Amino acid sequence: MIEAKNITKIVKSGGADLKILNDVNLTVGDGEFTAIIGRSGAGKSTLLYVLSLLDANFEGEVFVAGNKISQLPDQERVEYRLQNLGFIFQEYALLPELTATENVALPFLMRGLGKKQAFQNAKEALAQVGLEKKTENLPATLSGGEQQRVAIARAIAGKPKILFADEPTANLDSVRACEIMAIFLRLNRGGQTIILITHEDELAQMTHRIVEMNDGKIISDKQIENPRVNLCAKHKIS
Amino acid sequence: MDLNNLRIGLLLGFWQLKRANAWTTFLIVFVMTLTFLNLVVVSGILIGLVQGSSDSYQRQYSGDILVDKNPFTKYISKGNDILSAAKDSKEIEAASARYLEGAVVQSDFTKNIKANEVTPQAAATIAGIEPVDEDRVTGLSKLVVAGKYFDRSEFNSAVIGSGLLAEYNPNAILGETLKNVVPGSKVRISVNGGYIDLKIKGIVKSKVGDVNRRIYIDRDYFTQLYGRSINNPNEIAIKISPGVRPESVKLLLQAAAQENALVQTARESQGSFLKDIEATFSLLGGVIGGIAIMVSSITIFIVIFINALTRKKYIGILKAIGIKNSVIAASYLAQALFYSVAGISVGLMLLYGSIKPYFDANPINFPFSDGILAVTATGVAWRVIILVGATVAAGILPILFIVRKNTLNLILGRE
Repeated sequence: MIEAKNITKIVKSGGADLKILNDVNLTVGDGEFTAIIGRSGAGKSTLLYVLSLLDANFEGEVFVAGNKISQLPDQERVEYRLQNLGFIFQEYALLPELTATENVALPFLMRGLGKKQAFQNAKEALAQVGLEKKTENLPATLSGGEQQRVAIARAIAGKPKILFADEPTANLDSVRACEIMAIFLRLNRGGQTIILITHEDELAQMTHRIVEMNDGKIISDKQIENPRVNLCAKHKIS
Repeated sequence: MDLNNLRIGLLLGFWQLKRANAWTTFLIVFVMTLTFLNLVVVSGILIGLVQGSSDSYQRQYSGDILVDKNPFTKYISKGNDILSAAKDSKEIEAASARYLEGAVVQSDFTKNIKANEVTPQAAATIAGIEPVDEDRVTGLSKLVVAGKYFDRSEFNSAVIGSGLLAEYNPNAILGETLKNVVPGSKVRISVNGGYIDLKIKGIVKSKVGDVNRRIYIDRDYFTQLYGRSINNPNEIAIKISPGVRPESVKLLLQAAAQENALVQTARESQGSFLKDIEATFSLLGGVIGGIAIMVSSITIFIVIFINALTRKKYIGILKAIGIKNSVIAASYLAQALFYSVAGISVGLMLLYGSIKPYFDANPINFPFSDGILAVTATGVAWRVIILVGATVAAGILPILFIVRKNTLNLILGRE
């Protein structure tokens, strides 16, 4: 479970203070698939950065499994992310001179695995996202959807407690977006906690819960009784 | 940094290098090669100028040990004791005693001169030598550039240094050189208020002034002309056997000479002039080498810094996925190390494969020496260490600066 308490983030803008997050409180339980939606500038990505420890400059507290993690120093946050959190960026964020396998193997290596074992695990993770035939490709030779799948493989490789995804389908067409969502749904069925940022209502409807933000505040928080997981059926993706 | 982090950093650096632009890598390695050669060759040539002069001095004049008269005496006393000790020692290969007197030498003295002309003349040192012994120590016969070397007990014949001849010194002023002296011609030398005529048998040429401005005649002829005792040479040049330390031979000869002569190694006998030049050139080489190191450090700093700047986003991503700062720094350290080691390796191959052999075969023709490329294994090793150290420092600094920035700011390009 991840819990954010009284999160406020203020930045300077044109000499004036601007509240990007305004006393936000949010709890996401284990195994939940939560979508955070809202207009551009609503503060959803900022909240995700705070929850995932990428941003340390805020007021309030973040707890994971009851442990306060918001005050960890920089290198301990890096280690905590490695061991407990997975993050998927909108623009894939792969290292361009590393092959798909090498990109995914890096976190395994950091966890102390030998090169051979790390590469084997990376290939298994790539197979989970349907890229078993493109393990030696450099990112530049992969399509956007494929690159995002490599990024997902890298994020889930260490079996993180929570998977954060910041508009992972924003740069993809509807078919590729559905492919990505299908992977998330499959992971969630396996118990993976996922927090997804999206501005696409249709994709948000596929999750368990939709949190809507505006002007740095949560303005609604709805549980979805029956997630519309078949929305991608028209693309014959399951 | 633990070993695992270092291992991953090196692996990451290797992956990045493997897929980096080949031309960029080539260019950086090329710059490193030039820097290394600049560091070694420029100072090597500067020191080689003096080294060449010093080597020539030892090879063609002093031998490995030079026994000289004491500063306030005219000759060496009991020279035969020293020569006997030299002949009895297995550590000494050859010894040559030299007997010296100053003289005025004239050429063209039989020619009728006009009223406004003077007979060409020059001040010279007449050296009485035993030609075979001298040749064994200094290889004087190999310096003959015209005519022939003279034989033992060949009276009235002389070998003259080219430094006394106008034909070999076109810029010399009147009164310093002789004219029209060729093998077979005669020169007139002043002896004890009178003069004698000597037939020139050969001309020797050397860049060592003490060799090049002497007239060599047979020792027995010399002692007869000047009334000198064979027991009173002015100097004795000693050639030691291969592998023998000059210092040990010096001690042996000092024991034989006692207070009657000054025994010095070749280096000691060179005086402060060459040593001062060597120190100055060494300093110059050091300054130029220091500039070369600074240039290479700045080059690597700029290369790594620009590389890191353009890859700030990826550095942020690495941090975001849990890669520690030390691993990221190690990956750039690996790249800096590769550039320096590759550049130095190519430089070493060029140095020992072509540059050094070329200079050995074709010394630079300087007026006072044959300039060689003075490089020693120790000197090269130190330069390698300095260059690698400077490159690594220059490579690691920018990445340490960037990697400490806020992860999110790096990813979003806010800084």
